Amino acid sequence: MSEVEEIMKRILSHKGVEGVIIANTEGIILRSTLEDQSTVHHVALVQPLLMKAKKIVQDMDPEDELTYVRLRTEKNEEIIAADKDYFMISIQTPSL
Amino acid sequence: MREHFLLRTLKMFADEALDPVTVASVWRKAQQGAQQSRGCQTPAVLSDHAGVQTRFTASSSTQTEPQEQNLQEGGLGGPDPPGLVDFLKRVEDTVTKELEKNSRSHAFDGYHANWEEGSDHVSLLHSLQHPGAEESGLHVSAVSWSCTGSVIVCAYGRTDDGDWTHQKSCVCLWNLDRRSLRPKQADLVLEVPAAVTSVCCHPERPALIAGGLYNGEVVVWDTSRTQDPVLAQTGMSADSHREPVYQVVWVPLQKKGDFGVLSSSSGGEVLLWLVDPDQGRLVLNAAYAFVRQQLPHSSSLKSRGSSRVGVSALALSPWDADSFLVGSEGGLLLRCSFSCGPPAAVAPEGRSVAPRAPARFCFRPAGGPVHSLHCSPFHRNLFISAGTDGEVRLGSLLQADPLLAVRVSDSYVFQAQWSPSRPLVFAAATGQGEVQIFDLARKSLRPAATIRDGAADRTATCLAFNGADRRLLAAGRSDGTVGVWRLSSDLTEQRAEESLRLEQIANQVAE
Repeated sequence: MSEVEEIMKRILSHKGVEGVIIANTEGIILRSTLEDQSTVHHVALVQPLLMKAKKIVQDMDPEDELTYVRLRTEKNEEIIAADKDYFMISIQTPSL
Repeated sequence: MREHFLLRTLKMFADEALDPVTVASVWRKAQQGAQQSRGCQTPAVLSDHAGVQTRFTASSSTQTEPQEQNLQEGGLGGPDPPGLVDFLKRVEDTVTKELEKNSRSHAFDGYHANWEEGSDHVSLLHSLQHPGAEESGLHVSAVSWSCTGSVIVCAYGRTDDGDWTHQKSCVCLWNLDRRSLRPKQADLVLEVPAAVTSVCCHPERPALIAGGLYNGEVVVWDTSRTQDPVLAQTGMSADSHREPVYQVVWVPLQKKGDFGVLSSSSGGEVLLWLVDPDQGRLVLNAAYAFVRQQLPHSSSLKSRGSSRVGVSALALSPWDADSFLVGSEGGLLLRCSFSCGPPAAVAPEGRSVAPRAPARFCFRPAGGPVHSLHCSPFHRNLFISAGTDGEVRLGSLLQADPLLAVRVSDSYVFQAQWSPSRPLVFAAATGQGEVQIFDLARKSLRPAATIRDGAADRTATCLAFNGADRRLLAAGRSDGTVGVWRLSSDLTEQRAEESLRLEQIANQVAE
């Protein structure tokens, strides 16, 4: 198994994690554990949010940079880790 | 010679006629410019015909085909783009840490975002008035919402002094869902020969309204009948009350779907009527009389005045079909039962049904007449009572002493009612003209909201929560106006753990 798969598997093994999506900054999906339709939908919606968040951080403090964005809803939490070229979305259902 | 000279002078003085002299105008000719006339004409438009014809035709079409998503699913598929592995390695640790923290976090426990448009404050929606009632100086004695929540029924009468038996009064209905709502003109006015003390809308049929009158009659109106809305009435028969009726309530009967009217009066009896629409009469089904000697543990009661106990407030329990609560003019609070009970020790008075004494349990008496009782729709043992001592007491059916006494106002409290949507909220109409809304979830016992409408010398005589649209509250005043208020969302939306808190309050034992 390639390294990428190993890392994804490790992340998936955490408590409550429902899915992982990896894409590049242009929105092209590279890896995903969810099915196609919802992955495409997800990335299309999250990507502009990510760009906006990056811009906010850069504008506020040019020396600072975005590490990750967390989106918490009633049902689950998404941790979006971003980089210059790629980003990864992990969807977790917090246990309450 | 001399004649020659004379002739010559005569000739000099002869008449002469001169010809008129005309002088031609030189000015006019100078002003007139030179005039010339010219003409022009467009040449004719040339037109010609020509024809066109296609010599040959050819057709072709195009179509787009759905493109296939080039997706790599979970591990299978194309080569990893450069740098992906490095990115993942870098990111994996932080993400893992966050995921673990998340699974243990209690940061958001019990937090619920509320995105709905909630209102922050209480606002007056309508102020309804009936000019005829205002002219006669009538107060609003009772308000009731129909079971659908769209019609409000307002009864007019007097709440302060008595003996207005000959005062004509009315019951007005407004349909608030109609767009053409006219606050100064009721949608339907029912003329009544005496002052109305209480109205109650039928819990299932929106057209039926029961009303109690000052002359002791109980009337049921059917607003769907155009001819004569009076469906049934007790009339002045031997069965009916002899004293003013204080309260009427619809009571579910044994057979599901049937309702009877329970009426209480200051003469000390509570009567249960069945509606007989064919004869237009209310038929007495059961009678309950309260006599001081028959009350349970009457040792603490001072026996003053007559032995009759005037019933000023009545409440049904939504949990127990057999029991009902009664409050008296003397401040007594009693729990009563419909079914069992010894015969009452009263003179028969020609009633068709022998009265029984229903009182089972006597709570600690209030300081003055009890105006209002209401059982909590959320807890089977809790009820609130309000009277002239300015307090609203929260009591439990299981014990004699009240659990909590909330000081509502310095003057009388005319009505208190639990909120239909939040278990810990109740509202009270005070003699100072305000409707105070209390929230037991708050630490302090000050009102959560106060509804004040106009002058402070007008008493708020009655209030009613709308059972269907939980945010509406109607309050009637002694100046004849009824205000319909929309409550803020924090007073109407139930929060988590409210029922638990209510349970805690109920289980408190009074010191």
